[in-house]
Amino acid sequence: MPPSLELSAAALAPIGRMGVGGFPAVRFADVVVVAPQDRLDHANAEAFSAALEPYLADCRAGGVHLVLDLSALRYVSSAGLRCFMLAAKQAKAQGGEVVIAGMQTVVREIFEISRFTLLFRVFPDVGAALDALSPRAAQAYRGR
Amino acid sequence: MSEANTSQHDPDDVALAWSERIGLRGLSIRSGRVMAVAAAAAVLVVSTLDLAQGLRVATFDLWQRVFPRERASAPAVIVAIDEASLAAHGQWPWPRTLMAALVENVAAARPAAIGVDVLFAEPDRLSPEQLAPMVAGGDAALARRLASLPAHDAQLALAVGAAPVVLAVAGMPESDAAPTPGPTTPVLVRGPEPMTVANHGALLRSIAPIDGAARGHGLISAEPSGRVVRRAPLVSRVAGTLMPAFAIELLRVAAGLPAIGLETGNGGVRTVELGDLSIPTDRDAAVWIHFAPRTDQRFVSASDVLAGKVAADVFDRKLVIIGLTAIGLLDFHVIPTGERVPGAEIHAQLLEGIFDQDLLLRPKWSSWAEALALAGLAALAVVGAGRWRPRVSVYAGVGAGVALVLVAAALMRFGGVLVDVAWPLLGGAAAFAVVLMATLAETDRQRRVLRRALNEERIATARNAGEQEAARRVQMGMLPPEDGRAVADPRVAIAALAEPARSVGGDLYDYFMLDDRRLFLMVGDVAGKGLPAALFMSVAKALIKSAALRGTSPLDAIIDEAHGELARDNPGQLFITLFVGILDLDAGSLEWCNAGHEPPLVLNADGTSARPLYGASGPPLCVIESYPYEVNRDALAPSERLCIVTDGVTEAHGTSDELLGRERLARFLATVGPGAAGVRDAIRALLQEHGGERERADDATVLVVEWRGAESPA
Repeated sequence: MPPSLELSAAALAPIGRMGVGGFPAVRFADVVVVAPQDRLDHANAEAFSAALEPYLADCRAGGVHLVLDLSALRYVSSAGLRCFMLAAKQAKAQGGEVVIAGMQTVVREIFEISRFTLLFRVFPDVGAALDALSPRAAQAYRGR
Repeated sequence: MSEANTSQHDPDDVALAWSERIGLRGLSIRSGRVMAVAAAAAVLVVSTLDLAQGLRVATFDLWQRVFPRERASAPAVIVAIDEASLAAHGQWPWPRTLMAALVENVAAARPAAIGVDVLFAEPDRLSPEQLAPMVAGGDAALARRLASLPAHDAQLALAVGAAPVVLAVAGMPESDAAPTPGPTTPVLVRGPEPMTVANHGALLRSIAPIDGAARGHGLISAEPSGRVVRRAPLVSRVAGTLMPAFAIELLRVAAGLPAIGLETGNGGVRTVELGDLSIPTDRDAAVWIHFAPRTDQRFVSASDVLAGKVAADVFDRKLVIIGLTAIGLLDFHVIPTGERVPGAEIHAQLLEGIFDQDLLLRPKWSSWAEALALAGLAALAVVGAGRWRPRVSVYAGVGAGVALVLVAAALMRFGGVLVDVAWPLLGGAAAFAVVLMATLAETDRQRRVLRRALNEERIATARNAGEQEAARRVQMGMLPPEDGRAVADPRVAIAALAEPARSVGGDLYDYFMLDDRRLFLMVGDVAGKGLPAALFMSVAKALIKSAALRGTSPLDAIIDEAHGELARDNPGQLFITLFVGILDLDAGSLEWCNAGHEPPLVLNADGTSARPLYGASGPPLCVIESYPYEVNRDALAPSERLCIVTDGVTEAHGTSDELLGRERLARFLATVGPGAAGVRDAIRALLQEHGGERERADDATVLVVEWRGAESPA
C-alpha cells in the first residue's frame, strides 16, 4: 500500500522519510523530494515510475509539489526521460507541478539537447527549488 | 486463479508433491515448531513414568559393559559351597556341625569378619536329639545316648559366637506371622526421618540360638533369583525398623562399630556412615553397584577350607563371605553385564566398590539435567527449523546428540554418576523428526513454486524473444540500404549504419529524393524498447515520408503534420527525437529541423574539423503538443559530410562504464579522411573499441551524407 501523503498536523512537523524501490524520497512540509541515483534507463525506468506514482497522485492543486533531485544521477536514457515527461504531464493535468533540481553535467546536456528544459522549471539545487515552491518546505529543509 | 486452473495439475507438480500425498502439505515451519515442542513435551512426560525406567536402565547397563569397574583392592573373599564341596561332604543342607567346622576353620585364619549368607531358619534335622525318635526305635539306651550328645545347632551357635560373625536375615513381603524377635543393629538417623527407604513387611531369621550368638545381622534380598541386580540398598526398613544390609553389617562388625549412621535431608538419605567412612547414596539409601568382571580370584572352595588346604594368609584381615555357589542351589542373579553370579558375589562386588570408592550414583539433579538436555535438543530443533538447511539441521542434531552421549559417558566414567541419555535423545529426535518433516514439506513446496515460476519465466522469455525478433524485422525491414544505393546520384554519397541493441529500440534513418535535386534525410530515436517502440518508429517514419512526398512544404509544415498525426494516436505515450533535413544537391544548401535530437556534425572535406549543427531546436515529437518547430538553414561545401547519429553512439557505454561523449566523437570525427563510407566505418570501429565485449544498451544509428558538388568529379 503506498504511503499516504494527506497533509496533516503530523506531516507539517519535521520531516518524513519515505522511499520505494531504492528511490529515496524525503518530505519537507508540502514538498516531496525524490532522488533517483546513478542511472535511469530502460532497466529501472518502470520501477522509478512505480516509485513516483504515490507522490505523483498527490501532486495536484492544493496537494504537494514534487522535486526531482537529480544531483546523484549520472545518466538518464530516453526511457528515463519518458518517466520525467509522464510525471510532468500528469502533474500538469492535475494542476500540480514537478520541478527539477541539481542536475549533473551529462544529465544537463541530455536535457538541453532534448529540450526537456521546456517541460520543467529547473533549479540549481533542492534548496533553491524549495525556496521557489514553498517557504514552509524551505524552512523545514534548512531546519534539518 | 480460476477454478479451472486450480484443478489442473501438470505432471511435474504431481511427481514432486510427496508432502501432499502424505498429508503434510499444510505443515508449515511455524506449525512444525509448535508440534516439535509438543512432541518433546510428550516424551518428557512419558520419561517420568515408571514404564520409562526400562529404557533408562538399559542405557546404564550399556555403560556397565563399556566401562566395567577395575578391581583395585580385594577386601572380600567368598568361601564357596560349590559342586566340589557337595561332592566331598554330601547334599545340602549340611549338618550344622559341618557349618560350624567351616566357620571355625575360617575364624582360625584371622579374618576381619565372617558373613554367613545362609539362613538357618529351622532346627537341624540331622542333630542327634532330632534323630533319636527316628533311628532309636525301642532302644532306650541308644535314645538316651543320642540325647546326651551335643545338639548340632548348639555347636554352630558356639562357633558363631566365638568369631566376628554376621548372619543373614531376609526381608520378606508382608506376612501374617508375628515378627520373629531377635537382635537388631541400631541405625542412627541424623536428619529427618527417611521416608524414601524401602520397607519390608516381615523378616526371616535363623533360629534363636544361632541368631542370638551372632555379632551382626545383615539384610539380604529376598527377591526371586534371576532378576537383574543393578542397585543395592545399604539400609532398609523391616516393619518400621531400619536395618543395615548384609555387606554394611559385615563392615560394621569388622570395624567394631556399635551402630550404623544415616545422614538424611529433605530429599531423603544422603549418606550411610560407618565411623569415618561415609558412603553417598541415592535418596532411598541404595547405591548402583559398579560391577567388575567375574573372576575366580574371589572364590575359595569350602571343601578346601574344611580340608585345611587353604594358605594361611588368604583370609587374613579379609571380609569372608560364606555362601552357596553350586548351580543346583538356585541362589543366582543376573548382573548388568549379562553374567549370572551367585548372591555372595553381589555382596563381594558391593564391598569392593565401597572400598575402592567406586559406586555409581544417580543424584537428585540428574533428572533435572535429563529434562534440560531433552529441552535443549528440542530447542535446537525448533530454533534451527527453517533457518538452516535440512542437512545442517541433521548435522547439528546428530552432533548435539553425540555430545550428550559423550558427556553422559564422561560423567559415568570419571564421576560415577548415572545420567540417562536415552529419553533426552528420544525427545530430541522426536522434535527433530517433526521439524525436519516440516522443513522438507516447506522445501518441497518452495521447489514447486520455483519450478512454476521458472516455467512462467521461460514462457515469458520465449514470448519476449519472439516479440523482439518481430520488432527487429519490422525495424530493419523499413530501413533503406546502408550503402546508400537507394539514391544513386553522382552529386551525393550516402552511408548508413544501424546497429540494434539486443533489446530492440526504435532508431530509424531514411533518405530519399523529393525531386531530382532535393534529398530528404531523417534520423530518429523512439524512447522505449520492443515491439511498441518499433511500431511507433515505423508509423512516425511513414507519416513523415508521406507528408514529405505529398509535397508538403516547407520543412516545418512536414514536421507539424506528422507530429499532429502521431500525437493524436499515441496510447503508449511514446516520443521520438528527430532530425530531418533537405539537402539541395545542386546548391549544397541545407534546411533542417531538430526535435530533441543530437546536433549532427559537419565534417570538412579534408577531415580536419567537425562542426556541430547548432540552431533552433524543439523537444522530441509528442512531448509538447503543437510545439512550433523552426527551420534552420545551412550550407555544405563540396565534399563536406553531414554526420547524423543517435544517442546510442554518443552515449555508448565503455568497458569501464564511461560514456563515449559528444566532444570525444567530434574530436575523433575531425580526423577521419574523405568520403561517407569511411566516416561510417570509423564510427563502427570506434564503437567496437569503446564498448569491447560489452553488450550494447541502445541502438546505434549513423547516417553520413557527402555532398560532392553540383558537378560530379567523375
